[in-house]
Amino acid sequence: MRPALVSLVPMLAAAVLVMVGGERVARRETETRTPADRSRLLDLDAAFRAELARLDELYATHLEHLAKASVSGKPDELRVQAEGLQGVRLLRVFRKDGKEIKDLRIQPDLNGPRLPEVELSNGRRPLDPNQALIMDAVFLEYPDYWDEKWLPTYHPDLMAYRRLPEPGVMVVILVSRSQFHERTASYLSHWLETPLTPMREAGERLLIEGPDGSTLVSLGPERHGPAASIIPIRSLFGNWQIRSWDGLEVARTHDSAALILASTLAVILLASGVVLMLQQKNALKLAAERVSFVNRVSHEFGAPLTNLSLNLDLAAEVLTSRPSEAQRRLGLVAEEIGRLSRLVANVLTFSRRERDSLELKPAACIPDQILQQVVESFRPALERRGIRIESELAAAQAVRLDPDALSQITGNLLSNVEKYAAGGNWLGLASRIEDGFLILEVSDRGDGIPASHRQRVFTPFERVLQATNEGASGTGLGLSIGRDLARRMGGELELLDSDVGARFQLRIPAPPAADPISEPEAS
Amino acid sequence: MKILIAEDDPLTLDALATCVESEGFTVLRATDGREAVELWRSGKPDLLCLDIMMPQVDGYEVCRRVRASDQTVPILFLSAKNQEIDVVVGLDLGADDFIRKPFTRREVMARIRAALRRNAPREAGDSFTLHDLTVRPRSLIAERDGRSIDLTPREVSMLHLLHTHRGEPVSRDAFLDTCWGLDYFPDSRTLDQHILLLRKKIEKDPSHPAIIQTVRAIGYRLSDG
Repeated sequence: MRPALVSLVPMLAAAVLVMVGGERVARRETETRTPADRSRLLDLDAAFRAELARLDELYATHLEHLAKASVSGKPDELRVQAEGLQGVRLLRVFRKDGKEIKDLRIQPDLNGPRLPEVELSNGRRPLDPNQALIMDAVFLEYPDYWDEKWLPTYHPDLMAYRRLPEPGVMVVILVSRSQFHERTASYLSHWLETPLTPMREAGERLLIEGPDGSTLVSLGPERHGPAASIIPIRSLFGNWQIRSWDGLEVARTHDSAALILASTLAVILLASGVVLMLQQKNALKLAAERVSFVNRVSHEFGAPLTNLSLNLDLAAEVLTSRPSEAQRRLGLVAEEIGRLSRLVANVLTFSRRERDSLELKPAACIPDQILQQVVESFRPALERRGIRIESELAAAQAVRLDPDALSQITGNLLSNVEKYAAGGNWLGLASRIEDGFLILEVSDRGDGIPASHRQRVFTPFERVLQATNEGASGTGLGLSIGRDLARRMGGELELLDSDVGARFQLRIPAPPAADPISEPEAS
Repeated sequence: MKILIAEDDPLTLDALATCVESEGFTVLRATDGREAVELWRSGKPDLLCLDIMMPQVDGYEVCRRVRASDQTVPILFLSAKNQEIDVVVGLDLGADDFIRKPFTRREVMARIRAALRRNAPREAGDSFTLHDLTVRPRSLIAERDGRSIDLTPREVSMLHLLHTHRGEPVSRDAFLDTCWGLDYFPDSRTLDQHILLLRKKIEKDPSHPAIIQTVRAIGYRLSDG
């Protein structure tokens, strides 16, 4: 993550949380209950009940046919018939005379619970009393003793069907509730399509649960809370339930005051995040600029210090043997000291400006004298680079302005010509006093300044030439300091249009001096 | 030995070239990168000193072009660019050393000699002996008891002149003509100063020289020792 975003992201997250929380707090919900159509529900109940009874009856009929067939049927045929009837797990036939006892086990489920023993009360022993289903042998003697077809088995999934298809013969069939239910549920879910159509179209919420608690049908959207009505329906293999809910409409509104408060808080948080991010971004930019500035300043010191060191060494070597060469070297040393002084002056001015402690010291002076002094200090360096100096100085009257500031601005302009416009081989310097202002123009015939850089050149640390193969170095402060000093004096430093090279104009107030002129200091 | 110095600051170029010449090297001067490349091709210098920020073609590019066809000639960067990345880039391009500005005369000359020495082929045939001193001209060193002594090309030249005139006095004019060249006009004091410095380097007791003896009114000679 970019450093500047570190402050924005938490604020953005906080704003989103405040907005979401605020919406929840401001939310008001009103429920409107619409009772379900009872007549439709009763119609469904009647139809479903009748269908279940029909299925029970139909199944009982099939069992009865199976019981009859088991008396005389061959075991293989009987097995096929029993397997075709859903839910049948065991069929056992007892005869009064004790002969031809049939014992069919259908679809034995190896992993399921063991099927119970089914035996007559006078039959073989021993039996597991917890598993065995013992039929009283008296039924074979007196078929009408008890006419109930279904007997409990004490097994959670099994029911026993008992029938005496002819005298002296008793058939017992064990039926699995779950297998039967599985089959009927599949059938009923299709069958219910038609009776449920009106409710589905009305969008009612309704649930039909099977004997095992599973959902057979679910209509309408999920609804919390208890059902408005529950209809139990008993069938052969268990109890079914129809659950119905009333219609519910939720109207949602918001408390505008709470919503506005939350929105305002979110906006404040977001704005704070943006402000913090911008501040951090600026701080980072400033820090980067300062590091860059320190690097540039140390870079700028490198060359003149090297020249000082080498020339002093060379001058010392020939001091007595070749005094003229020593003198030339010492002249170069003085020149480099001037270059260092200008650099130090710029750094100090920039530093004072940053601390807001930059003060101007106006004094009586003659501008041309100051300009001439600056030009002379630059003359050797400019001439070494083949730059011809052309001066038209016409500001020889005594005026009141800050001589050091004028010297510094002029030095920076001339230094730029030396560094960046040596290819033009020409420097023009013109001064005049006009309407109480000193006008100074510094021109060159170098490559000029591209239009895209015309304003940026006055920004601190900005340099038109940045790449190492541009050859020129610099702190990027000269023009920025020049303009700042000019403005502090109530004037302006501008880049004027020119056909060739660059042309800078300095315009600063220069009222006539009333006080005596002090000697200008060496720059 | 020829040394190419490419530097766009005329003052630095002049001062540095003078320092290098004073030690007996021949200097090829370039004020920008393009000129440096041309001089390198035509002058075949033994070492290149390159400023980084130069007009037209910067020092890095000059180094790249030189290294494309010559992997051995020593290249030294002289720059006020003083960040670690500048040094790393320079050395990665194949430079042998990076001298940060500001530098002193002694530092830059020591580094130039060291670079030449590292690059010098070890050829026994070139070396000669003065008493217990073995002089290796290509490496710009003299060796005694396994210790090496740094020499400038001019000092090597002076010792070589004494060696070739073993037993004979060598006149001041011969020294100046041979070791300084006809286009240079050092006075007698210059020669004396150089002899003084040379004795400090190679004599065990410079106040009682055992190798270079003074011959009054003529010059110097190698002692018979």
